[in-house]
Amino acid sequence: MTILPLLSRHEAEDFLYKESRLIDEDQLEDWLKLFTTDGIYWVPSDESSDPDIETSIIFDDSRQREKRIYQLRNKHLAQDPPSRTIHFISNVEVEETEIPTEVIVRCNALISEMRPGDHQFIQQGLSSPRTFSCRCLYRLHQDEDEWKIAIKQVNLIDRDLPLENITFIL
Amino acid sequence: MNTEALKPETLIQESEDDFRVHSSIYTDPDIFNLEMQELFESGWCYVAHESEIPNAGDFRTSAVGRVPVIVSRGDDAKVYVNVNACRHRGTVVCREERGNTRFFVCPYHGWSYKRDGTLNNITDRDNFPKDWGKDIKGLVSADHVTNYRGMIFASFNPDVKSFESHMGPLKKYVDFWFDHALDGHVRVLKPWRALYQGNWKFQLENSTDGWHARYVHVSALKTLTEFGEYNPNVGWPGCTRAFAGGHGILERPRGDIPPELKSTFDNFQQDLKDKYGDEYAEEMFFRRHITIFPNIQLMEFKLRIIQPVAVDKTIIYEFPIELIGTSDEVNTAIRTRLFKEVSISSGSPVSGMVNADDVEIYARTQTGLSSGHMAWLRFGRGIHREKSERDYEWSGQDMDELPQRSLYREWLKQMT
Repeated sequence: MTILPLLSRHEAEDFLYKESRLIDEDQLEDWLKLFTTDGIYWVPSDESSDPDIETSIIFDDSRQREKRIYQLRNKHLAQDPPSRTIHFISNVEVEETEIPTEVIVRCNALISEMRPGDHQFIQQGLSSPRTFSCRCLYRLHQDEDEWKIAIKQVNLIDRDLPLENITFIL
Repeated sequence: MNTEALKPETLIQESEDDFRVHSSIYTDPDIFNLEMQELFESGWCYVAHESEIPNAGDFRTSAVGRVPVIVSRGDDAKVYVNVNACRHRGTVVCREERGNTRFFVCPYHGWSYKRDGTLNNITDRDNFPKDWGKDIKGLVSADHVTNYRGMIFASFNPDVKSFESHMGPLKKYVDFWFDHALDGHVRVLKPWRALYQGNWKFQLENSTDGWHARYVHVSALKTLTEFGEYNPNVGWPGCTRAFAGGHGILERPRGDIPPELKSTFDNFQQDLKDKYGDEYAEEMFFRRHITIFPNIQLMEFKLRIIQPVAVDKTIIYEFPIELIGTSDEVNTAIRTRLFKEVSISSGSPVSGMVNADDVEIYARTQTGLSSGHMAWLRFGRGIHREKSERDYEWSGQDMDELPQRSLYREWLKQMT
């Protein structure tokens, strides 16, 4: 395998934009394919904690991610109607690691989310846009000739507070 | 508040074959205020687990209803519960969720309090009359504090009856839950925290509701079945139990142990048999959701606290537990079940495959009741087979609305 050159910021942005598009356009089966087979999607409540022995908001390995998407496709009440999201990505930085086939990509994300379906504005949780502010850390791993997500870590600004409905993909 | 005008006694109506609860108990802010006074401040309210504050000076902030309190460990190793408000002008003295300190110091004028809440110092004493403030001994303390198997409860009622008499016959089942730890004690881990836009009693009712799962959790059950992680148990379906004092239980056999953890759980049960004998170990090993009125739920290896915020806003804390004295293998298996959601009875209410659907229902029900034109909620399932003598412990079929009727009978008693 030829080792790819370090990702440029431009290439990293393209990667993140593509991921955002897959989530925002509900192509979640394709989103699953962005991860390595042992990739982790982690939304900590305390980023210094060990997710194997302490609680996280989300700590998904590939099987958990597949279950999550399967449930979304099968009348998950908390996603019926499903969330619409728009991801805004900024402050992208690329950092080398000690491993030539891995890079760290940091970015900020502002996610606007809303569940439609209530034109009368009386239903709790519907038709009311919410904003999620996140500091994200990706560890990308070179898998053959493309980069895949080994870790996607999303640090929400209010991660240690009681939160509401994050059953969509951040 | 004019409690006369509220007439809580008119809001629960029971006859031989029907049981109605008025929607205003979920939507009326005055009823909510009265609940906080009568059920939370005047009864026994859970404030912390002793494993959260093991050492002298450890503290965590908590609440009795809506009264903000500091739960702290004194130099004498005792646990103290004090109102989190300076005796000078009422400023909150401690803002951290948890920590360790020598003193609680008010940021406004520097008054300070010792670890047990007693007064340490009033600043600038020279500028007061000689004996001014001698009546101030410390932060306002709870009237009573008790510890049952590590759960710390406080009451602001000087005449509250003992916690054990409040628990009554539920004690046997609470002990079952704690006895899963071979040393008899548990440690609570950091909690999941969730907020929902609905009344606190929806969560209270739901955990012992055996009927909703086949509807609310159909997507979770379908998913787990698809991934080979759910095996619908064909044996005895379980039961509901109700107790004097408003407590309740939903009980089912452990039919949801995933195959890869089966041998671990078999060993676990063998350890329990060795320690307690076959009969006790068999009986304690059922999967139970135990509600201690008014706001604690002992779930499958989780301690759930329901924290009311407003009549239509509630926080849920779910503390996974570690069983002290039990093997690492078992504790790891329990964490695997909880954190990776192998079990259908686990997961965060924010993002989990089961509980997130429950809180969705609570918000939906709050919306449905808010018009006030759906006046009466009906809790009739199984009432025709409910035994008439209800002074101790009684049971029903697994989907009967028996625990819900029991908690509203107690609600009525304490609110009037």
